Amino acid sequence: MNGSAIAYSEDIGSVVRQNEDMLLRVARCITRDRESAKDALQDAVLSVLTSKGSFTGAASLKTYLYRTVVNKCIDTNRRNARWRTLLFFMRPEDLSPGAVPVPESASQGMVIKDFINRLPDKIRIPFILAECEELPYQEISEILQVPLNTVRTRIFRAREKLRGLALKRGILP
Amino acid sequence: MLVSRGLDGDLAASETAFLHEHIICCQECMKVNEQYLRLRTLLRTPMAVVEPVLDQAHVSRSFWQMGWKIAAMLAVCIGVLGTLFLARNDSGDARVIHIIDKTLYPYMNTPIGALAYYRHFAGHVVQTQFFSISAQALPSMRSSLSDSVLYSYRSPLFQDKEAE
Repeated sequence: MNGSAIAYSEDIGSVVRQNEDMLLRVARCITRDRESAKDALQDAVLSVLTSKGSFTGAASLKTYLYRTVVNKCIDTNRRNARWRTLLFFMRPEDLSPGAVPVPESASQGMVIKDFINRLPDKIRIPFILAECEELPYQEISEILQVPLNTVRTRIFRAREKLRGLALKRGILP
Repeated sequence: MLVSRGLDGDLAASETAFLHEHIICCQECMKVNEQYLRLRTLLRTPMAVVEPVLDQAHVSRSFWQMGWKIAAMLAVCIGVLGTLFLARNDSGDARVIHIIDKTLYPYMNTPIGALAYYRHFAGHVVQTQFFSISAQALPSMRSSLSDSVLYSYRSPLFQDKEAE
């Protein structure tokens, strides 16, 4: 391993350490599952470490890492999609959350999160990055490698969809 | 869309000022802005620690209910297949038991003897057949009976008769 490779690995290590929580949170939001999120994050870090050549330096290392994590999460979602049919074999009462007392605002928040999980990935991922991670639109555009105006439109569409669902459910006045 | 972008801080200063002025005048946009803010508040409300829904699934109950169904289906399948298999004529082993009767002076179409054989499967007799043997039927029976049956038939009776 030469000097630049070592420096690159150290840079990656420090970026991962600084953003680990946020990356894991993003991965969990996209994959909808804690374990899949950890797997995706690990794959992404390994991938970034082993593919120094594909990092051109056009974007920051943090953005590059985010992009890799998001791509890995999308791959994981595609892989996991085949198992979702198994849920049809479970009885609806088995999937009920049980008698756990939950405050009203928290339960409404859970309903909203459930609505977000039902959105298509195309509009869900930019919305999560903007709403939950508070990333600027420009950075989201770089992470997802889509034009800035597309990011704006997708976030707006996701927000409108959520608003419609929440109005139907009576969560919003 | 401007309201949405304003919420995420994507507007320039002039656009933000324009949006604020507009929201004050426009009831519809004000309502949308409030609804977006409410959504944000709900999303950022700390969640109660609730285990994931699937972790609480009573899988065992479903499993046992499904297990009974599977066991019943298997029992029916084994029963049907077993019956079909045992009912097959060519299953098991054909063997001559004994000659029940014999006629010392056979005439044409008169029984010269009776042949009984059984088929057994797994230590049990599953089929028994008796044949009445006449001198006329004997040549055709030679071709229809299996070699082992013919051999057994021939050994004490027919060969003795030929020798006579």
